[in-house]
Amino acid sequence: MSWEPKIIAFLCNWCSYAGADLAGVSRLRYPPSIRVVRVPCSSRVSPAMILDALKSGADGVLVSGCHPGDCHYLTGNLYARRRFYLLKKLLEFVGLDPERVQFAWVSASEGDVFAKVVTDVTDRIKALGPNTKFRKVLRVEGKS
Amino acid sequence: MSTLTEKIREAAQKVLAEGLAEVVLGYTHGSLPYRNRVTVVNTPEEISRLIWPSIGVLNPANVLHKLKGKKVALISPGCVSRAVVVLCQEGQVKRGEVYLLGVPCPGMLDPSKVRALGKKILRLEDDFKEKVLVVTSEGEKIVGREELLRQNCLECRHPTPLVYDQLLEGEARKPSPSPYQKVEEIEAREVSARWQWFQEAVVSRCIRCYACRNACPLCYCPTCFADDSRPQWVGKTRDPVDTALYHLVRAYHLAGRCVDCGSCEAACPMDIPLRLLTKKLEKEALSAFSFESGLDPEAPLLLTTFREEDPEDFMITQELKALGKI
Repeated sequence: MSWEPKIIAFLCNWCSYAGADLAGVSRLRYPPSIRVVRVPCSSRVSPAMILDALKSGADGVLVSGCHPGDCHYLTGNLYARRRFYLLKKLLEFVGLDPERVQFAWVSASEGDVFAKVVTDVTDRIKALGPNTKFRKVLRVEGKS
Repeated sequence: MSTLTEKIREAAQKVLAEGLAEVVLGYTHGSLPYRNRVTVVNTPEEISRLIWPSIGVLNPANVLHKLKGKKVALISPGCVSRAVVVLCQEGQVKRGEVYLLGVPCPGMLDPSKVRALGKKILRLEDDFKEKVLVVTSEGEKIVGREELLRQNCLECRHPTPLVYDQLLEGEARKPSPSPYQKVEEIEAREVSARWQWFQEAVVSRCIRCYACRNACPLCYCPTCFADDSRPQWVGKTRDPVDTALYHLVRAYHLAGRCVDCGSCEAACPMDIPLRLLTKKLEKEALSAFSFESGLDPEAPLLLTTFREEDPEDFMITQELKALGKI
């Protein structure tokens, strides 16, 4: 059996979660790689949550929210965009594979986009292989 | 005695006499020539102990929260003034309760660079312009000031404070023409080389004493995420992943806030280049959002505001759109 990555998907309640739902009811095919965490808004997702997911064994993280201008809370996703930009740059800087952490805008009507995004993210993470860099495992002190 | 010291004492006396502040926060001599203290003074005799130090690595703004309710005059070079501005923006300090005695900063010396000059450092004579006379147990040495400056002073963009109540006369260092050179050196490396650098220079050295956090004037949360136990973001062991997570989130929490005073790096007992992480975020904030921290107490903070045209080409949906896939 081929290796299937584990991807934690933080989906905003109002757009992306509904988009994922639409992908499901439309019977669209996409890899069974994501574990969905429903959040009230993409700006609810803090960098510690993203890194904690990787630390706990996820191979990738996808954060998805409403398109700019569509946020249920008007501007939450615009604040989130700035934060994610900086987080992504910081992770790139320290050499954590930048592809492992992805951000997306998916609206409630974009079931097809959601399926394509998940397919694409899964392919990219498959190409990278399992997350061994940022995963906490039992270690003997002094040995890596 | 350097004239800057005289000017500071004179101004501090005046500030106290005129009732503009109850106490003055500045530097006094410490037990060793390369260790000066952050001190609170409030009598004329004590004021005569104030100095402008050659070496003063800790940011005095860090003790402001212990002086709440008192009107404090603060000896402020660029980075201290900027730290206070960020504290004002975040509602931690009221601008009216702090009197900023601005000092055009000639830059400070790096204690580790000075200590490398001899076995025992007995005395420093600094002209605050070009040369430093270092008296060691082996003899005297005259060294160019530039060679001994702290890295963050070499990379400083605002040696003269922009926000102050009174600015002392004097000549400041010129703003650095290449503040991000060290960051760019790391950026130019391959992904795996950058990861190796992060592991070797930061993660494996760290003993998780949290001195960097404690020395930071902007790390004032009553409970730090590193101390949270539910959820426990950072495990209590020295697991490299936990250490890496701590450093990433610590740096991230200073995004758009860090004023590059260098306290974290100076406090680190393991010589971790902590500033590189915060400097990287500073660089990104400047290039993507034209934002610099601590310049205007009335302006919003980097992450409490947004612009419609903020970059989003890093997002996978935009990437797929550009490729025509969605």
